[in-house]
Amino acid sequence: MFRLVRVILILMIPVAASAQFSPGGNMLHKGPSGQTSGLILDTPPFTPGYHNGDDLVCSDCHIMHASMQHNYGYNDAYTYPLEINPAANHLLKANNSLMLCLNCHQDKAGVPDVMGPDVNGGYLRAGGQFGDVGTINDNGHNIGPEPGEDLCLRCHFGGNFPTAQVECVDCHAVHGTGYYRNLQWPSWPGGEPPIIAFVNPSVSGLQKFQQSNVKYGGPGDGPNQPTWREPTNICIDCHHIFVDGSANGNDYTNPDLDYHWNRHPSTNTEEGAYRPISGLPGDPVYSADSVNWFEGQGSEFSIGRLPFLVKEAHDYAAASVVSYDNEVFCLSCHSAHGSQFSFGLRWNSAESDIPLRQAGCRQCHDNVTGNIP
Amino acid sequence: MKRVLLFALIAVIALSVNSFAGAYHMGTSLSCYQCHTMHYSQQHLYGYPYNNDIYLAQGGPFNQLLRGPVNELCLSCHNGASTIDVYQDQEVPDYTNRQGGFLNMVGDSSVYTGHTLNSTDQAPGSNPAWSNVDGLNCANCHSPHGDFGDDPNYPDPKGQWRNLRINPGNASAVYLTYDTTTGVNTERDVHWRVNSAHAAGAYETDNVDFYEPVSNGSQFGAWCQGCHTNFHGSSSDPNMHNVDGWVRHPVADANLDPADFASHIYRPQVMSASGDWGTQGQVWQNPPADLTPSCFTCHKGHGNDRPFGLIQMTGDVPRTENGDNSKITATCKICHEQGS
Ligand code: HEC
Ligand code: HEC
Ligand code: HEC
Ligand code: HEC
Ligand code: HEC
Ligand code: HEC
Ligand code: HEC
Repeated sequence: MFRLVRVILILMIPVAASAQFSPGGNMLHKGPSGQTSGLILDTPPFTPGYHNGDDLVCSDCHIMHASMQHNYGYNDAYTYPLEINPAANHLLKANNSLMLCLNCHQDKAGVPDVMGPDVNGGYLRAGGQFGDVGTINDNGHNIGPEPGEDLCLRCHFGGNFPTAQVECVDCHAVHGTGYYRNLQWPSWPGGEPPIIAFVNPSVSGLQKFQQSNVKYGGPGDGPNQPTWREPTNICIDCHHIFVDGSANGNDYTNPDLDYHWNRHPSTNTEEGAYRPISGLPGDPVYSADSVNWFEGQGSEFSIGRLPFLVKEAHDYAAASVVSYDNEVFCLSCHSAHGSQFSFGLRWNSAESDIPLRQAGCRQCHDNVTGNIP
Repeated sequence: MKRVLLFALIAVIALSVNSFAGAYHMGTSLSCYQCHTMHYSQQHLYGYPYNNDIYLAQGGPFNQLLRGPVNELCLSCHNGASTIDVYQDQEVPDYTNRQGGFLNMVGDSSVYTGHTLNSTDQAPGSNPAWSNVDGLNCANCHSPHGDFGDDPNYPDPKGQWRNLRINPGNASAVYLTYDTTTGVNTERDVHWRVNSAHAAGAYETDNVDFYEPVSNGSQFGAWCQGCHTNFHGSSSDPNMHNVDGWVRHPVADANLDPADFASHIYRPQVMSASGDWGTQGQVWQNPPADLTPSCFTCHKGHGNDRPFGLIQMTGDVPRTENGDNSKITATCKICHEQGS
């Protein structure tokens, strides 16, 4: 049955793709969208960040006549006089939306720097870092100004996954969502439910973007609970075949449902996949090392404790609690934008010292190596 | 050229690792990515040396996130050029005489010359009957992550000899200890004349010998007994010995006739309590009186080109994987003078 559905889905791609998938519905997301009513029930209180509401400053991004001789009287990171030639669609203050964002988000002191080494220095950015525009980046997402109008065709039907590109506005809603980092469903912008992670309420300025001040939570699976999502909910749109689902795995991660994983488990609340490091209830072949994770000792923690998800955490404090049943998810191993390391991993997988090369794996699996220090 | 590169890389690895737990694939030398893939999809390398190939077998994703079915996965490195070759002939002859010999596989022209990968047969002599219904695989004998053993007295170097499982077949807690050049210790089971898996000749027969820490026992025999239950024991075990004497060939608890054995200038491996194995190529003057044969005296652990994986050597020329003879009598006559 599942097979059949898949075949039908695949057949649908060309048609659906040309219809751009929005706003009609979405085949990739199995859970309810934010446009379904009654969704706000369980959503944690959230203070929107920049590019939202009062902090959505039109002149950050739009220019009325493609020409400005001076600023409005505040420093908005642009250099004036400014002329956009040729004048851009949507009255953008750059030739395309990628360069628009990078005008501020690359190497501008005081603005979160998402490109390469951090101009603001001294802290680990939660999103990590991109490589150069228009190049193949083995350490994370390739970014380019023209990734292709149609999302699906970037990888399907002539598109090529390894060389495909992304741009900021795939993942971030330009006019804000009111929720975490304005993350959106790339396959259906605006269709997403509230996507939430927690920022340390006692910090301000660029400290808000520091990894150690960001904690991750996800909804529970009780009645009325699954009404909001963790940030990795957006990964589904492009990495559907790596995504985990259901209590004991899905066709991608554990096709024979035998408790032996075929792709690494990751929590995905939309599809009811909760992946505590302490293992699934009743797992006869539990193989991770939640004791090591909980204790947090050894060279594997010299890279910092990897990010984890806390089920039903509704605030920063709750999402900070280290426990045996913290959950593993995509961002445990990868930085969302990319990192300095291969595959955007959070540790140096090219390290010549073998134990450090796999420090990340050992945080949850040190028993396999005989608990080396 | 490829070989030169390889050795250079091995040297780099050897230098970068200061403490070895086990010999390789264990503790500080266990590298997850060699065998596991997180999503069964990998567009590029990780960037560390000695990682020059992305192997993902057809037909995945596989259980336990493996890069391929167990045998195929192991042989992706252990057959062909790059690493100690354990299947059939060595495409690149790094070793003159591999201690383990070599395996065969279901479908090969000869499958009666040692252990046969993918075989679903019952292990001969197993009691209770042991077989792998999915086919015999490398991990039935070798622990992929190495076995440290939970034995608190377990010595350094920590880890089982050759990462052999502590629980082969029906057995449990069978510890196989070894020493290296850095600390000779006759209380161990195996003597290894090198001190690292990366050393030249690490898998060469001439660099391996066997102690006999318990005069009526053989840990190696006990290990094989995990599957070949009836074939090992001491003179007080009824499967081996009755009131009239041995009913199966001894693999422990029986000293061989040192005069016959030592008269050959080349000799197969035997257990020596004192750690004296004589010098290959010379007649052995004054051999100890308590030398004992065990499984490895007659068989290659993996197998070879002779029926039953037997070593058929005359003792006149240097040892080889098969032996220089092709008659079963050679296997016997190396210890027994009858008929000569
Ligand atoms: C962070 C940058 C940014 C800010 C700030 C911003 N916009 Fe936009 N806006 C964009 C981009 C980029 C587009 C093009 C949308 C696309 O490419 O999908 C756009 C498109 C538009 C459009 C075209 C219709 C649409 O929604 O696509 C309007 C109208 C608009 N913006 C008005 C505004 C107004 C008014 C403000 C201030 C209240 C504002 N924008 C603030 C980036 C921004
Ligand atoms: C005029 C400069 C400017 C431009 C252009 C700009 N940003 Fe920003 N953006 C900022 C500043 C400044 C902040 C951080 C403000 C703060 O400290 O909270 C920010 C914050 C953000 C954040 C984090 C929001 C939060 O607080 O959680 C995101 C996501 C973001 N920008 C995305 C974009 C994207 C996508 C574009 C392009 C469409 C873009 N920005 C264009 C200046 C800019
Ligand atoms: C808009 C589509 C899109 C979304 C959403 C998306 N990705 Fe990707 N991702 C890609 C594409 C295309 C590639 C392959 C090309 C490349 O390396 O950039 C890729 C590659 C990657 C890589 C491999 C990078 C490398 O250099 O080897 C990782 C890791 C990754 N994505 C993780 C994530 C995670 C985690 C999320 C969710 C936070 C996510 N992606 C969301 C499109 C996307
Ligand atoms: C970042 C690359 C990427 C993007 C973007 C992408 N896909 Fe995929 N998709 C893949 C890969 C890789 C596979 C697995 C191999 C294949 O079937 O080509 C896949 C498989 C599928 C499948 C088959 C699922 C299965 O179980 O085999 C469907 C359906 C699908 N994609 C739909 C879509 C739709 C609809 C879109 C646009 C909203 C889309 N994809 C966008 C990479 C992508
Ligand atoms: C593949 C999806 C994706 C793309 C493409 C993407 N982002 Fe992000 N971005 C994220 C996610 C997810 C986070 C939250 C990361 C976290 O908290 O772990 C984030 C975080 C951020 C932040 C907060 C700072 C930080 O490091 O956490 C800013 C600012 C930002 N993005 C800007 C951008 C800009 C500018 C671009 C384009 C150059 C861009 N993003 C492209 C997914 C994306
Ligand atoms: C346990 C750590 C871990 C988790 C969790 C994890 N990944 Fe990965 N990911 C890796 C590693 C390691 C690689 C390198 C290639 C490999 O091992 O297969 C990788 C590779 C990738 C790639 C590149 C694939 C290619 O073909 O080159 C993408 C894309 C990716 N991951 C996305 C994701 C997404 C999306 C999630 C969440 C659904 C996720 N990862 C969860 C560790 C992880
Ligand atoms: C944040 C914790 C975490 C990290 C980091 C992590 N894992 Fe896992 N891993 C788990 C959990 C939880 C399971 C599921 C265990 C179970 O169900 O028995 C798992 C399962 C596995 C399995 C499957 C075991 C089986 O029996 O099928 C393998 C193999 C594995 N992980 C390898 C790795 C590797 C290699 C890395 C590093 C690239 C890694 N893991 C990083 C938590 C983690």
